[in-house]
Amino acid sequence: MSGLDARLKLSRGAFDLDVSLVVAAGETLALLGPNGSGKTSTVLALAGLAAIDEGHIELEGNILDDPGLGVFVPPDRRRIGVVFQDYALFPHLTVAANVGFAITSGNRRAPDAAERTAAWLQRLRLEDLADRKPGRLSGGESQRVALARALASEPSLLLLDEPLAALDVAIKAALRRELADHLAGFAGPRILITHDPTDAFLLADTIAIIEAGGVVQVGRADDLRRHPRSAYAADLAGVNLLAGTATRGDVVMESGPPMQIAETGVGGRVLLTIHPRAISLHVEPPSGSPRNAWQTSIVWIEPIGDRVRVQLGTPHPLTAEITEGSMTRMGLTVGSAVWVAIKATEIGVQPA
Amino acid sequence: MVGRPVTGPPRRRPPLKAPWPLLALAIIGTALFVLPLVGLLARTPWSGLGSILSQQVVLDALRLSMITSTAAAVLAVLLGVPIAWVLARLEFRGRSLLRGLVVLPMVLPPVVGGAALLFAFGRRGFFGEALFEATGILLPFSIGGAVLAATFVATPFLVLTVEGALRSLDPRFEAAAATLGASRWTVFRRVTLPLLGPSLAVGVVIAWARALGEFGATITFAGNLQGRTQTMPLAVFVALESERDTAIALSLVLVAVSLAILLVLRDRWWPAR
Repeated sequence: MSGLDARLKLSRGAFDLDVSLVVAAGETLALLGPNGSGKTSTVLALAGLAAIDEGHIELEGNILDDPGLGVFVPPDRRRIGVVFQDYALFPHLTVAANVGFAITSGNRRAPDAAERTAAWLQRLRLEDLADRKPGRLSGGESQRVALARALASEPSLLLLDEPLAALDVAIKAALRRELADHLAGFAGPRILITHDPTDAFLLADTIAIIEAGGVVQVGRADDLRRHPRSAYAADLAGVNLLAGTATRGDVVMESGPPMQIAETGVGGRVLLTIHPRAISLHVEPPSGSPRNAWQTSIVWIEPIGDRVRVQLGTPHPLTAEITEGSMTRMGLTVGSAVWVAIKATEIGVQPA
Repeated sequence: MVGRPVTGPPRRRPPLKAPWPLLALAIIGTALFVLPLVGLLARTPWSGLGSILSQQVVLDALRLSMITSTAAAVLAVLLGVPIAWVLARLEFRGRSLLRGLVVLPMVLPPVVGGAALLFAFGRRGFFGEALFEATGILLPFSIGGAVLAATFVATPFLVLTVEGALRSLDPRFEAAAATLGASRWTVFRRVTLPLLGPSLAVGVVIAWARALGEFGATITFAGNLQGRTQTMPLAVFVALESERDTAIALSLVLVAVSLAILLVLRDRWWPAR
């Protein structure tokens, strides 16, 4: 196949990793999970910085690692471009030399090295920073250099390890959009390692949720958000996302009635994140503090563990999560009319 | 070095009273280090210093010391950096043994080191005989022998400094270089070595200083021939017997060089507070 096909099994002390990844060319897979779930081990194994104990790694039809066949291709011959967490730019080299390293690393006398370096600098808008050392770059600039360096090595697979984690919230949204453009410009398979569901939803076609060294669920972003198969997946990925435009605490939604948020300082295009457990359901119109309340009906009900996920209908098709007990108490079934209430303080806001 | 940011008035500290036994011992200890320097300076024939230092025996010793310690420092880098890399990067059985062997000259009495060199590389030595028959080179009592003796005692300092630096180097830089298509040799040459730069410089200075002060191994293995193997410390030792003023003048030069080295290493050993 033209993409990546990998089954990674390895043991490090008490930790066992067993992950299967299939990514087609031109597709982005997000590996979503918290720290310690095995994301770093996955990066190291794919890049060839660690050897797998069992399984295989196949990229564009070439076997890179297969203990059964006795094959192990070292990292410098794998053609896997890695954007490391915190970028790992060479501190002793200028921006241009960092990018140029990827071109001259295998063949010092590459005759067109200077032109190719210049072309990558231009593509990532780094010409003005060419002579700077990494110590004097902002987070966003460092990210572009790391991306330029990884792309300049002309990899067959692009591997991004938490590319947005080191950035300020204020610039994250802009850089995420920029990253999406660069990802789209790369023809091979892309893997994004992240602990942030928003990054995964906005940048990836497919999301694999990883827990304690194993992938617990793989699916399209929307599918995963609506139908997480475990409480863990629900906590990690089952978040509601709504887009709108904010002005001093009021958000005009792309569809449906406006919402109120607690953060009055945010303006312009925003993305609201609402955790399913932050949504409360009532049979009677709710009284008290919730400023966001409307009536709707239940589309479907899905149990996970001792909780149930309730899909709500228009105007805002949100997923709520309640206990089985309260569902029974309220006598909710598919088609029931309910009142939805969300406190303004429970709504996460970030610039989109 | 980054200082503490200055914000507001200086913080008041409660007065600290030192316990008198600590203070008394600290004063005695300080005297132990200061008095010899005072003694040396008190006996220095300041007015005749110029003519003493321009004697042939002094100039010979100075030239030889510079040549041997610089050559030893170069050899220490050439041989010590690869040893440090092997110790820091490869996992193999006997690594501790290797480190022990390499570091042994640091604790070995230098005279014993010199004797061991003689048994190995002497004319009738284990390797020396073969070397002489094959090439006609005789190390003992030659400048080459003096360089070898100095290298033997100086290299361990460089190995330990560089190994420590290699271990504390962020492994992601070398990993990143590898994923960008660099072979291990390229990674070493273009990433590891430049990043080691400052620590390597410190290692070189320490190794050079150690080679400059070498006495026991040199006199045992290379002898004490003026103009050929008589370095500054040997010249000081000889002059003490007959020409005290020359010994003092030579010592003064070595003190000055040592102070200069401390100045170079200042940031490393006493980071600015």
